[in-house]
Amino acid sequence: MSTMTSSKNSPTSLVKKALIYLAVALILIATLTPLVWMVATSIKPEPDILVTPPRFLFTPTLDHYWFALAAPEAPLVRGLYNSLIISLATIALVVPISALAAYGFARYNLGGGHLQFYILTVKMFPPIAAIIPFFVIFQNLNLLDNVIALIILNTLFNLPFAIWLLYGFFKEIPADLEESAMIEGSTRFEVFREIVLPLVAPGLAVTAIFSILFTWNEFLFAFILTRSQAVTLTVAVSGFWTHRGILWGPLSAAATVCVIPMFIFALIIQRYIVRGLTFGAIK
Amino acid sequence: MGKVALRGITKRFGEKIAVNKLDLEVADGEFVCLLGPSGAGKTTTFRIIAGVERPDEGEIQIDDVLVNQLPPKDRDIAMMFQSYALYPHKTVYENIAYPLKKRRLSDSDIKNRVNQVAETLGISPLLDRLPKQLSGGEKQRVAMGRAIVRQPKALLLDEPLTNLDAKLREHMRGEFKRLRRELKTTIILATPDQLEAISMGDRVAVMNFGNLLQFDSPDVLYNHPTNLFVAGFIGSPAMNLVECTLVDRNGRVLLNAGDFTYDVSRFKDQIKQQATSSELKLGIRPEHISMSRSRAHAECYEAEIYVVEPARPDMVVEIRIGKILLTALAPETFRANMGDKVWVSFDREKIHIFDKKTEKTIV
Repeated sequence: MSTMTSSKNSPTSLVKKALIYLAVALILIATLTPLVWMVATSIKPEPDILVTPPRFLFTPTLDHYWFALAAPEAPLVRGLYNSLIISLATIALVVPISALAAYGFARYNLGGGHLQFYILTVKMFPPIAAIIPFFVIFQNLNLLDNVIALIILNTLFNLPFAIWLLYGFFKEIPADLEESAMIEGSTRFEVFREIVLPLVAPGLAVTAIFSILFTWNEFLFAFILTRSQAVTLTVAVSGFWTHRGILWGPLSAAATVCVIPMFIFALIIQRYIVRGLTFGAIK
Repeated sequence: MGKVALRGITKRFGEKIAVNKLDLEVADGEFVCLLGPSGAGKTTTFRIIAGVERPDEGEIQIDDVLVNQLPPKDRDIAMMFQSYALYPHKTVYENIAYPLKKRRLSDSDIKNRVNQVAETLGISPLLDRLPKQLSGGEKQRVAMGRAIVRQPKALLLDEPLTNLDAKLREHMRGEFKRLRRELKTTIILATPDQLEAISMGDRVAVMNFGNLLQFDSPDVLYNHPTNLFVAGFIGSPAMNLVECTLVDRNGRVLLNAGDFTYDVSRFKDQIKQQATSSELKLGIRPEHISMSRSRAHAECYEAEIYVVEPARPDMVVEIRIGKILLTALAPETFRANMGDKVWVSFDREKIHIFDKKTEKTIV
């Protein structure tokens, strides 16, 4: 990067600022447009949806939402319920397991790096290639159309990333701190709980967010392994892709319903990430 | 209570020997300094005493009790890390209180002790702050506080003054001596700074590459170093070491340094007994070299002044005899310019002779 020696209000720095804002604006537009369009579609009256050129002025209606909630081919309420259960159960498993595993790797170098690499390769594995074997396995276990199957699978596929992420966080903590605590009278576990965990709290928060995000949005396994009981929200939304055609209105409404919980969750959790990061440098 | 004994301690990290058959006995209440450059094995030794590192061989005894198998928390040792290791998410008060909490003291007891320690160290106004809000010197004192609040059997201080600026370091050296008198605990302090070790320790253990080279009082280390490393490490400016060969000439035994010879006939017997070859090193401290304008006696050498450093209180003068450079100290009143010729002589009582190969002291 070239050094800027110009003062704050000089023309070059103004241009630089303008360019940065422009770039940010473009990125925001690219990211938010589909979302905004989706929400807009969900409240547009039916005739206005597929009209060209697209209409931006319309009288909003909640018809699609009522339709979506009542529609039998897309059990939204059940989907919401299942998605919540699966997501919460998954982070309840992923966070503790990955924390302990990552700590083991970071402090004890278990498996000498090989075990870690092996776990990471699970993430590199294309899930779609495993779908048939998993189907057969769960069929034999009588777990088809059961949330447990999805909890297991989501935990499995989120662990590698979580472990890798937390490993980095644990490595950041100087071993001095833990040794000092042990000399002062703590057991390993007390050290882990009282000294290490508070310091990796932002890492844990990030792990929770990513895991929940991946799980909430997960479609493939949910689609193949569920029928009617364990349907997740993502699968339920896809129910609007009917033989009658794609019902854009209700589809958008359902999709909006799908997005909102994650949105709220991220808003709540991001405060903890920021708070954790302001503990600043260790020394 | 507070005697620490290490016997035959060896620790290897792969190929590298970090600590080599270390034997060290620290008496109760003694202030011992572990002196040595980086990589000498000081920190490793500390960690072994504290229990966070297991030795490959050897025994550690605290108060005559074998503690090899005892976990750190049961050894009643306190250690202050070079990095201070303050818990960043706890306040100063909580940091200092931590060891007491672990020992299940009552809240009021804890409060009293912490306040007492904070008073002694002058950090009472800082008790509610977080580590990241403290200056280097303040952090150091908090780390000290956490170590002493427990009144442990022995206190291990790993380079406590290294990260402080020079002025603060000087001040803290004095503070340490004062604290030491108040605390009466056994203290072992590691440092690479020989001035620190000499001025603070009752005895100093000089280490290099994992080996303990000499363990004596500062006086003995200065006047009677048992090997080349100790001789060259202790004392500032460092001792002059000149390579010479032993020659017999006309019944006199001389050390031939090339550009001058020095008569060592009076040490003839010792040299004959202990030298493994005729390759020796002559050692003389800068403060034991005298310079004058005229040739005072037969054992003077003509030298040329190479560099004059007008340091205070003594001037540091580098002189050249032929190709050999020596450092000498001169009083403030010494006036000379580069290139001047002076006559130098060595204090007869303060000569050291070392065997070049074994690096051991002969005289």
